[in-house]
Amino acid sequence: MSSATALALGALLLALGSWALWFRAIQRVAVPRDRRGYLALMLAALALGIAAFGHGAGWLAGSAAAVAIAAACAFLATVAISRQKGGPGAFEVGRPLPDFEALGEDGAPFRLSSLGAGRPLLLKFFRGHW
Amino acid sequence: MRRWEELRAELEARDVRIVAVSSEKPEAVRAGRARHGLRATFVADPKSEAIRALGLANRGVHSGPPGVGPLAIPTTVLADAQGVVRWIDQSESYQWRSDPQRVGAALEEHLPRRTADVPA
Repeated sequence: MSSATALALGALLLALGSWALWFRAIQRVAVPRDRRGYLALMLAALALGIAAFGHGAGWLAGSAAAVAIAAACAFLATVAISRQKGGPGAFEVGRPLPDFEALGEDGAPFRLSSLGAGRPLLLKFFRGHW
Repeated sequence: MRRWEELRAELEARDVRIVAVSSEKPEAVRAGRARHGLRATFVADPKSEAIRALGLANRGVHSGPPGVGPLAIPTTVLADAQGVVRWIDQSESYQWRSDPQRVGAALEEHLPRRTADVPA
């Protein structure tokens, strides 16, 4: 096996393996707050993929390296756009909960205040990923 | 969201009501709740009106599907029985969620268990 092929296969394994671990974490709703480990793996895959081309990868090794580079870049892009911009909005610790209107599961109007008071409340805003 | 079931005992010990607001349509919310067997009040905000009014719409790259309005910054709010906000957890990244450990610690810190549930 040529060095270019070894580098390309290493890059591919690293990139796809890291993505597999990432998807498993998403599936378990357990994405770590510290993503440096994943970033290091993807950067390593990227470096190996580029190195494979530097070592004169043929079409097969080149294809593997290209897929690895694309997968690593996709991950880096995903992390880059994940940053949220905004703030706690109308919510402030020590202040009353603001009321709001939305739709119930049946599509009928819902107001938070309709639940009444007297019980603690855990209010969760999420994006649709369960 | 579905991992909050891990907190069921802690939530029930404090009589906490859960309200979850999703950016999906009501039918998708219904299906999601049924799929995961979650016990909570689920609310739909498909046009992002509530999150805009509450100032929780993400102003960064929303990364939602094309044609969808801004999505909510993943936010969890804990209020006491008087309706006063006691804790807010907001993600810097949409990839993060308020995991059960974080929520459990907030419950422990901010909401006492009901007297009958406190071990002697």
